[in-house]
Amino acid sequence: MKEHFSFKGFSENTSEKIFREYYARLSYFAFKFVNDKDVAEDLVQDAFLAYWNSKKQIPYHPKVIKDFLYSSVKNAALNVLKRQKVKERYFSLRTEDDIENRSVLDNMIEAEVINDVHRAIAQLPESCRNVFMLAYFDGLSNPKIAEKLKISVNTVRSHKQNGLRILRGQLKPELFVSILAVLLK
Amino acid sequence: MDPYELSKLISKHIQGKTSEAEEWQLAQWLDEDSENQELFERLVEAEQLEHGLNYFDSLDVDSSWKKAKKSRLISRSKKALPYIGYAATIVGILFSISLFFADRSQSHPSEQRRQASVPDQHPLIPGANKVSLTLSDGKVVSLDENFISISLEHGGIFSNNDGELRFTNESQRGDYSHIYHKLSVQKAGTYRVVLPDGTKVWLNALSDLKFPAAFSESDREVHLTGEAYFEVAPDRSKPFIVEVNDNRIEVLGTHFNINSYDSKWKATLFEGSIKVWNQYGSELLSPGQEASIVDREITIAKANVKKATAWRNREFYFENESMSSILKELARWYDFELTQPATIDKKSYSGSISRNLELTQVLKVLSSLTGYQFRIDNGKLIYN
Repeated sequence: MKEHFSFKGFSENTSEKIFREYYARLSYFAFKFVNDKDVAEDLVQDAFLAYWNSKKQIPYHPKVIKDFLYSSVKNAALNVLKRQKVKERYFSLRTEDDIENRSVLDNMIEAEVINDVHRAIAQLPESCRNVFMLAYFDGLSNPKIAEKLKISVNTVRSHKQNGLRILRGQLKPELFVSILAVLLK
Repeated sequence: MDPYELSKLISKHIQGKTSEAEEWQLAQWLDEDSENQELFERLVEAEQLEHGLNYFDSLDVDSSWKKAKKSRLISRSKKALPYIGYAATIVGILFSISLFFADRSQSHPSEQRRQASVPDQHPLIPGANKVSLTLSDGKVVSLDENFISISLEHGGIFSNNDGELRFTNESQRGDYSHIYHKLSVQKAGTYRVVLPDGTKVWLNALSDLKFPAAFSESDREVHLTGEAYFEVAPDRSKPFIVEVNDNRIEVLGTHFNINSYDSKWKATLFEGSIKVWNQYGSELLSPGQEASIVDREITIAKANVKKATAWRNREFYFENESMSSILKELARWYDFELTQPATIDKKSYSGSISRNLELTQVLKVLSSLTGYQFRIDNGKLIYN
């Protein structure tokens, strides 16, 4: 799904679109900081609320909205960390600012990258995707996959091939290499 | 380098599609910090990716959305947000700055940094599109996000078509080429409009575009003050003409940018061909060239593409400019007035800044990098 924003103002529909577009990657981003799934998702919920409360003051542009949301989540996550006093893990050798900026940047990039990969895999045709997931994330061998899905080994192989071909078309190139690395593990 | 740009850069590199300049940029980034290299390597590492993908799979976005919708209803009665804080303020966009301000005339820039002293209470928000349409009868219509369409006298319709402003005039009777409407973009805004012939015009802040209720039989003429980027729809029978102050640009082809905020103005050609006229003569431009016009002189030079396209990429881009020139440009985008400084220095600066930042952030950065101190007093910027 392209990030497309129209000027028609905020309908309920727009809010939902924005939520669905960014929710997963922001949750992952938050998770990288707080390492707690529930807390991460709560942070993201709050960030969206903050956005909806301020939306009239924020330029209606994907990049700006993205930045705002990432910022909100980041600040909230760091506050949580401070409160949890887990900062020893993060702030040991360097100044707070250094660590903060570094982690934020890295986590953001990672969240964006994984978001794209995930989206691409989700768009694989179902048969392809099943084989794919079994092969690369469950680590099953071709015969085992064939047995499990009740198809021939050749079919397994061609699904894998198709999957790769489709991913190649869908993914931004750096992500393709990453997934390739997973595939060749 | 902002993280979204960085991701793109890394991706291009792996595909082998980077230009020399981009490779240099990437190498610079990798060199800057060993952690950049670590990140780069981590991004292509299998286990990390798998972990991430599993996390994404474990999310239930549907139920999360349901939860969000519910909270939104409740929050409308002002419930405090435990993590973010009650007064939902605009949070800083800290990592979208990409700046390489270098003080060209000083040999030891790092030794003398005066403290930044910018107060925090001015959330001057950039770019919240403010546009108005002045009709030929003088009436002014404000075009906000709820604007749908307006019928103009003489049969034209100005409408908001899925985010794109369009001016159409199907039912034209008579010659209305001398009757003008004017589209004005205020400070801190950019707007795009499509004219009846399909020509697209992007207007930058503090710019006006005057266009006739109907194009004449012989040509298509518009008047511009400020800055705009044009993509002219081809029509050999009717040349497209842009009047800027007392000068004209005759368009024989497609894409160009005009910057006419000051008495010296510039036309940058990207594609097609344009002819630039002043009262004394004309010059023909090829793509990649730009014309600078000051009084009698029209000077043609190789175009500074980065400079001419920065505003459409929502960036400020400065190349060897004085502080006062930089501040003038900021003053078109943010809500403040410029006053004369206590001292004027002759140093030149280069850099680029996102236009999406709040003024206080921009000033903070400028301050710490240049040693200038900024203050907003009653809507006026004071600096020294």
